Amino acid sequence: MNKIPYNLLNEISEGIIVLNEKLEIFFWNYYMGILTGVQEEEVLNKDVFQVLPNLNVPYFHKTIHDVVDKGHKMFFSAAMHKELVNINKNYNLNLKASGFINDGERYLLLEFIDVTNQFIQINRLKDYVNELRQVNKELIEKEKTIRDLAYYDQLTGLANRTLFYDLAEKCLEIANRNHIVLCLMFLDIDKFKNINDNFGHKVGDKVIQKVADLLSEVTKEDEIVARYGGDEFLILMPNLTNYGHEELIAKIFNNKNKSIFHEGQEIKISFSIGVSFYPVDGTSIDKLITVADHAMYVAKAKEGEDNCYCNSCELCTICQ
Amino acid sequence: MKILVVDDSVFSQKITCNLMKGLLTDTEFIVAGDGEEGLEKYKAIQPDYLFVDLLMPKIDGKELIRLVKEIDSTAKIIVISADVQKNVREELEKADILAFINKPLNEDKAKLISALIKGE
Amino acid sequence: MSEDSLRNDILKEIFNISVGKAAGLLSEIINRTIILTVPQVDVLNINEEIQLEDYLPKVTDGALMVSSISFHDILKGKANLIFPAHKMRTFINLCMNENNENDDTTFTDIDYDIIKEIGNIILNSIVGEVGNFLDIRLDYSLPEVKVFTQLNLKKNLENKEYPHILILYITFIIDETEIEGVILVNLTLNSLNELMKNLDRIEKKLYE
Repeated sequence: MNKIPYNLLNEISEGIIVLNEKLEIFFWNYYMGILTGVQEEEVLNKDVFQVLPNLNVPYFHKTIHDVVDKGHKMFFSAAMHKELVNINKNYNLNLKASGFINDGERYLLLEFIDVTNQFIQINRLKDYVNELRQVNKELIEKEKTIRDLAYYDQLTGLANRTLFYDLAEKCLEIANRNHIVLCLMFLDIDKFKNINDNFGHKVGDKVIQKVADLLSEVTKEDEIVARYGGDEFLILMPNLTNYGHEELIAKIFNNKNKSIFHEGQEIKISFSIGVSFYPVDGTSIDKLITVADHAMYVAKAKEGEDNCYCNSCELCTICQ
Repeated sequence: MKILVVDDSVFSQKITCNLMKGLLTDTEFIVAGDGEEGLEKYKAIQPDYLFVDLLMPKIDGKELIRLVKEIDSTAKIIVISADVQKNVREELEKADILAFINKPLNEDKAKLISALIKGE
Repeated sequence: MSEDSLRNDILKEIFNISVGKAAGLLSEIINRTIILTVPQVDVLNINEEIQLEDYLPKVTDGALMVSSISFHDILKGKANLIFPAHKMRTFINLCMNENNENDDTTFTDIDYDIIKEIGNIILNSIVGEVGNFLDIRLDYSLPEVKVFTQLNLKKNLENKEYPHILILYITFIIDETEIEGVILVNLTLNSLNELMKNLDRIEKKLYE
């Protein structure tokens, strides 16, 4: 063989094998030696499947025959053939095969192209992207937590004052545009201080939670429940129809969950509710709250448990 | 002897019939263009052998074989298909077919089939 | 191409067989069963007033992946395997068996190599089978992979040197996922004539 191209093939950083028509090794370059640890002298004239047994699979045989018989050019990617072309597990190799004729004889050229660096780089990138995704996920969760802290009451999960004001402003706007009546309730737990003093703050917290759950249960989706402070709650009914407030108050007062059990004792919960209406009692949320607050004190002053008072509603049957 | 050839390619039908006619004398060849027609003709003609292509519209080859076997579990079926996947072949061979031949049909393959038929 | 439906039938059958062989090889490599559906073939001439876009795969994100090989000798032309980018991503995920939630349509060098291989298997099979039927041997090139927008692809394919286009619609179903693609073969006028001549010859032999 001509010396110059021969030496050239040994300089290339590709594994090169030349096979004769019988698929015996005719040439095995220097880089193949590096990839396999086996030198040309050891493999010359041997059957290629003996030397590289991983190639001995049906689809490789089929494709090689197409290269020899039909002149196809074959390409196997490192990614899809991890076992086939991985003579050495440390390398990722693409495999190209083509035929050529020299002096009337048919030969097969196999090129093993090292793309290991590509794989390393791409895997690094993938890892990096995954890391970023993970960090991003955590950031989003943290943001959510911060937002929640800003708008939600930690103990009950209800909206806090800030969120309530936000939502209430919007509801007032809508009510104004569409000439709807709004109803605001100011709900206070009777003798809550006594409960705290007699049973402790833990029990007091349980009571608050129970009340929050109760209120969430009896209100509709569009009605807003918020914890206003200590033992005070607000309920906004954004579209009042047909004495709906009476119905809601009845539901609250008659609810089965209006007590908690502590060390075998039943602690009954009783409410005082003050009610104001938009636009009759005021056109700002502050005004409505003030009015409802005063109404609540009127209710509290009444005898017995579970009292309510509406500032303007003369036709109310519940709160006379 | 009657042979029914079911294949949605007219070309393929003709190739099959032409090749087999040369080897099996005194045989009538009937064709059908899809699985539905194939089933009707099978019921009407009750051929000795059924040649089926797998990839057909309406009822495909696999379904046709199942339906034919319901009518006659001893039906003699030869699959001639472009689908050369091993799993496909293995699945069909469970259904008790005579042979699974890969397209394109040529003289050698036709001789194989005729030997199979004559040997029965 | 409805003038001669038997010609079309022969072409369809050639494609049927070649796609079957390609699927067979592919299924062995990725170790999964591939379900094929009935292929459809059309023959177009870009000199006539046709809208090539109507025949190309529809893409919502605009990217098409094209793997192509050239062949020459008695038949001269280019064969292109065209998949919408997101379908290609699905195909790659299925072939790599990676259960990847990756639906990224940016492709790495590794992805390009995989597409090159898939394209090579399918296109070699198709062009090879045509060669088989016509009893001729062709010279092939190694595949190239490029990404196109629908507009760029149209421009690329409307090549005056190869005015005749064979379009083959194929669908692979792997693991209940449908992968639809288009194979476009550009041919020179001489090549198309040569092809048709041979198809007619085959047709004639049928009736001898």
